[in-house]
Amino acid sequence: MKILWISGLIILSVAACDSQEKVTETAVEPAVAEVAAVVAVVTQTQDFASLMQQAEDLYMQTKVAKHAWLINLDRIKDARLAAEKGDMDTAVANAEEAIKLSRLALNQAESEKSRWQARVPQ
Amino acid sequence: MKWTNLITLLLASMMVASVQADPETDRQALRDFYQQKFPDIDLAEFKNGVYAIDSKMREQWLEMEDFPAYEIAIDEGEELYNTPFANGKSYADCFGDDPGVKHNYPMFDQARGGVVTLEVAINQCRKEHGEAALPWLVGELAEISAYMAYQSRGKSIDIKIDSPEAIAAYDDGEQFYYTRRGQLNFECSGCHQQNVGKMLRAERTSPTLGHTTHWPVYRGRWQYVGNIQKRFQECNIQVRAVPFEAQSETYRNLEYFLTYMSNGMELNGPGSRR
Ligand code: HEC
Repeated sequence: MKILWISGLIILSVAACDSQEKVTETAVEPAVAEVAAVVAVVTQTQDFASLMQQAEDLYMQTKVAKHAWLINLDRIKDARLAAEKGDMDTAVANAEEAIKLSRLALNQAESEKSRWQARVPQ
Repeated sequence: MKWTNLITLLLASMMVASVQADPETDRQALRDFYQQKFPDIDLAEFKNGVYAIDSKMREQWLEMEDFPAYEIAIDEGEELYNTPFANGKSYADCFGDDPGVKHNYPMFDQARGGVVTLEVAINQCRKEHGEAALPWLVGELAEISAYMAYQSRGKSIDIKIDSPEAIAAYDDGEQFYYTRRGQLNFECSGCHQQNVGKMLRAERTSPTLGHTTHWPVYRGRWQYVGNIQKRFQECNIQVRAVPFEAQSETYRNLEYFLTYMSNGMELNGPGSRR
């Protein structure tokens, strides 16, 4: 991720220096903005891909623990749909939510291991 | 050995000592629990589920039972049961002359190393005779199972747990029943024991005892006869947990535990529920 940002900055500064010498101020700004936008999308997409990977891995862990929650399937699906539409903010937010909720489900699985027995009528 | 090690060892052995109670102790404790909760109700009545504890619902249900919606399923099931397989054999070659064998299921199959529910046994029989397995929850399998349940009416549930492997399967089912699950963080026993008899939206929760006496069930909401594991899935979904596959090891062990809790109770399936 860091590498991407740095390379983005390099591209930006190169683009900026380069154009300042030859062209007028007004032409420079759209070029810089365009590159910045491309970098942002690339970064977000990379971010999202790794978030999604994490969300799916954690969901599979909840499943193996027999503690999967329905809402995590919904969030993963919502994230994927939003990403397909190019709405990366929503996509990232949903993937993050899925990760958070899967961690809760895994906590439930862990803590229940020592709690269930107290509920059995004696 | 350092004394800290000794303490660790002692603690560890104490943890091992706190293993689950044996099935019979569990069953008796559960009966005591309900008898205390409902001192005026004969526990045998729990074969009628929620209708044992709600007289108004019971009246509506008794009216339904005058013309039970599951009757067609029994007839269809009987026909299917008696139709020979392509190889000339039939279910009787697997189950014997009396199709009323439901009181023995689920059973632990030592050779296969797992719990065999009646539905699994029906499909095993089909496969042994070259027929395709039927879908688990509804349709022909539920109909055959309805016919077999009908033929088993009046018999007492007689589940055996008599090997370490069988006990392990029972323990697994018991743990599942008392473990909180899903986003709503609720355990099966939370609704059917601690809060038994309370209203949940339009429904009143029934006791664990008697949960397995009357399956398969014609449910008004389904408009057909379905097997008990369909109900397991729905109860899991109610707490926003991802349900398990029908006849997965998890649900088979759960059914084994749950049926053992009703050991000795009279079978009265198939049943009808709202
Ligand atoms: C949030 C509450 C709730 C939880 C948790 C719950 N159930 Fe239920 N269950 C109900 C309600 C409500 C009904 C329908 C009314 C009744 O109890 O018969 C029902 C019905 C049933 C029935 C059918 C009863 C009958 O007489 O036909 C079975 C069997 C059952 N549940 C098993 C389970 C199992 C196994 C679990 C755990 C996986 C579970 N339930 C968890 C609320 C719950």
